[in-house]
Amino acid sequence: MTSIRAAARWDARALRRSRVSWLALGILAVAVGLAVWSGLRFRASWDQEAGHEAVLERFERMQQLASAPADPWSAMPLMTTTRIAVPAAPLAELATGRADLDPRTANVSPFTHAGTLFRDYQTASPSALATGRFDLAFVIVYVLPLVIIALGFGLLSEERERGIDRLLAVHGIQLRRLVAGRVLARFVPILLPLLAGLAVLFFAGGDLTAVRAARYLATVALAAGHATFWWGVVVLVSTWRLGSSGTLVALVVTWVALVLAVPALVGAATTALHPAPSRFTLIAAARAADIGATARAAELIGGYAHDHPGLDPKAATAPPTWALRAFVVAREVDAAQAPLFDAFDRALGAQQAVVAGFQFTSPALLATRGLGALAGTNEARALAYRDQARAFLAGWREAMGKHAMTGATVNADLLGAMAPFAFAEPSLAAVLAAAAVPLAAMWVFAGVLVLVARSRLPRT
Amino acid sequence: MIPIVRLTWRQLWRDRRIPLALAVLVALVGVSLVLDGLRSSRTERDRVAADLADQQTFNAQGPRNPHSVAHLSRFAFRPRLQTALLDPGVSDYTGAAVWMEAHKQDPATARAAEDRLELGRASELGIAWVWQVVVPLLVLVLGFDAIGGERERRTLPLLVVGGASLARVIAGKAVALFAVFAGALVVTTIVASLAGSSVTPVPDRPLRVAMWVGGYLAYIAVWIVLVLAVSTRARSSRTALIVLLGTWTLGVLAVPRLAATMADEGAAIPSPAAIREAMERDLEHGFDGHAGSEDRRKALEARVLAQYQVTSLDQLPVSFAGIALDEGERFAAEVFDRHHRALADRYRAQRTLRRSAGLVTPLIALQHLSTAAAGTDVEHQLAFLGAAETSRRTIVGLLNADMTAHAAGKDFEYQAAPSLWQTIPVFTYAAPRLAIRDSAVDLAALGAWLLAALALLGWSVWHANQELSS
Repeated sequence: MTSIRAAARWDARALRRSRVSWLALGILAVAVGLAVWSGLRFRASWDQEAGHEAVLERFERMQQLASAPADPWSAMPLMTTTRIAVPAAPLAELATGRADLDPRTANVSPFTHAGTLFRDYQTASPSALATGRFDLAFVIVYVLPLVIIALGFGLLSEERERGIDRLLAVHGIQLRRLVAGRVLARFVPILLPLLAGLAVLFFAGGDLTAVRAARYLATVALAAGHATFWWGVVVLVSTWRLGSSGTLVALVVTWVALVLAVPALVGAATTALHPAPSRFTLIAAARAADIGATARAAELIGGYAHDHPGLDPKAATAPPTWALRAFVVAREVDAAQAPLFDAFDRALGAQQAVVAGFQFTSPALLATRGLGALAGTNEARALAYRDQARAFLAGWREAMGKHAMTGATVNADLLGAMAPFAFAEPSLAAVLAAAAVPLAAMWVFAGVLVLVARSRLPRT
Repeated sequence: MIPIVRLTWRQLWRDRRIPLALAVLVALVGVSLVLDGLRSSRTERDRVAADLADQQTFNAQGPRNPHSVAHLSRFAFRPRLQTALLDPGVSDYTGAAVWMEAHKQDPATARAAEDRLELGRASELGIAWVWQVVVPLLVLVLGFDAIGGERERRTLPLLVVGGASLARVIAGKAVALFAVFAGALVVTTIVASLAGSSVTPVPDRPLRVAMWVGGYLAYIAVWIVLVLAVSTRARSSRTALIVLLGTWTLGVLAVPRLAATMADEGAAIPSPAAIREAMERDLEHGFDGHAGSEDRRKALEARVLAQYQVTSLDQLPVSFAGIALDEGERFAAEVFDRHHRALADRYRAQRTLRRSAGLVTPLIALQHLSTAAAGTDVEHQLAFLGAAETSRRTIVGLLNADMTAHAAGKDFEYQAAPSLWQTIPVFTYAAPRLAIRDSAVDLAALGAWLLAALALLGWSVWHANQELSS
């Protein structure tokens, strides 16, 4: 241990003199700083949006109650609307994932169906979406390995080029300990800005709860595993006895293959193997169902009354025919669209299965999947929100339809019985279970790499 | 110079760098072309089929009130252009379907990116991605020791003493590297053009392809000149490699993403809810907040009664509901134009902000140029949205006109004959002609980058000559 500490101390002194080290660490520190700023901005805008929607939801409820007694239009249950919003993902400030792409808010009315529930959200900057956001997940997945390569490519090759390796051997210095000390000396300055960034995000990004702390601890473990993996790669390639340029080229080729090429190929293969059904077909089918249901509206209204004994549309304080028609048409279109939406879910599920299998081919994929799961910005939370929103819509529509058919008017009791939308966050256990596979795989791969690299290093 | 070119090729072939680079290129471009080609033709097939099915559904809806039909209206589906295979640009992140319904200018929906898993957007396989991200790395691997290596092997003085000036040696190496990648680029373009023939043709395709190829040739040239400049100036090949890798990391990986994030913050897009609220507010209360929808309706009523010289709406020979709907559309069009123009201005402001990051990397200028040429940039999406909105106004206008003319006394109880639906024009979209003026800044930026790289190379050569002569 003494020799490892001594090697680390000596190497730290050498690092302080190296311009490349300062440059690489400077780039990492700046990247972490910018990513933290960008993450906090993203988080704040999402919080603001969700908060704004909640205020509007309460305001519109009050407005409906206030105008219902005097305005027959507002008094109709079929004219009620409500807003729903998904709160910011637990660690939205860490990894944007697909959260900038998916809908976050929606307007619900008894005339809405699943196809029109999320219809006004696609205004975000296409260029920003296509490029992706500069967040800490990007730094961990893409920049961190490059900084490790920049700091580590000369781990052994520089001595070899200068002939110092023989000198060390003559003095009986254990190469394994020397390498361990060096890796330690270079690992610490890399981890420090990263940990500082994660700490800032934890304290400034949201509530200081045990659940967020658990997610952040798992993030630290994943990031450390990712860094260890790349140090394993660096040490392993260093044992190939290449020159420093050769080592650097080999490491960069490995980085390109594992971080860029493999995820790109896996992504392309996944969508090629399991393409989602055509959105155009879905739209055409929904419209055919809409027209078909509109033509059968009278029959559908009668059928609805028949299926709901106790309701008598003729006895009601007659909602306008168009409103009843729009209500039953929305129900019908939902029923017609259900198999098509199921097909989308099946395609996405199949894509998930392919990626779950192929994620082991790239540490970048493992890190991306793990960070997305921990941040809550992956498809799992997006689908949970979508399903809950659809269920809420169906509940709202059914309740208001029944009220309309019984001739009820909007009042405090009627609206009070309708709880506003509240997103049920996936449990911490489910999140940790989803992140456990990438996390465990990362550490297993890192461990194997370190052991293989160690075995290739001569004892002396 | 030709002997130097041959010598460089021989060296790079012997140490397997050229075969390796070409193998990487062929594999990535090949897979991209096959998968993108299949996806493009599938998307086009689905679009055409869905459009036809929707048209049949629309035409066969039987007698209905025109306003009810205006609510159903038609969908505008965006075709996939032939040139999109060269660079998908933002097309997967923009909606490809617009509902052209009455009263609303809906945003485009059906974004392809929503139907796939998120695997990190820095690595989305495609021809443009290969040439923008991977090829500079290949240039770097082939050229980082082009001059430094000769110096380390002590063959550089021999070359110079042998009659070739250092500038000529470097020019030979540059031509050798450029020829390898330019050849590969031309082959890529030809194959992509053939593979893209199954999708919607673009009238000015030769011009677009020429601009696309020109942009990438300039980009490759910038990288080759930079690599040679650094290789000439650096003390060792190792140092050159470190500097070049750092440059690539910043210029290709980090800065474009950072620039997009900064631009998104600098010219922030209001949330969808905020845009919707602002539009609803203007529609309800007028632009100044004092001309509410009820006031506008009363004013219209007075105007129409005066025009037809009657005292009540019942006496009108036309449907007042039809007139009111049309007037509502006219006012709504002003509101939509104002808000959508503001949104488009934000997108353009972001592009300007991103362009300022072009001082740090040539990639941003290339990305703008490449997506403009491929017809997959934000401007093309705005053109599609504009065409859909024009079509929406035509459709809704025709239906309102029919209601005005035939629904007197019946208004919303009036049922138009099904033959009316056949007269509604079908949405067709032709990509706008390539606006070279819009791309002039990016062309100039790439040119400036090339000049700057050449100046750097000239400075490096001057220094190296000083060292050689001393």
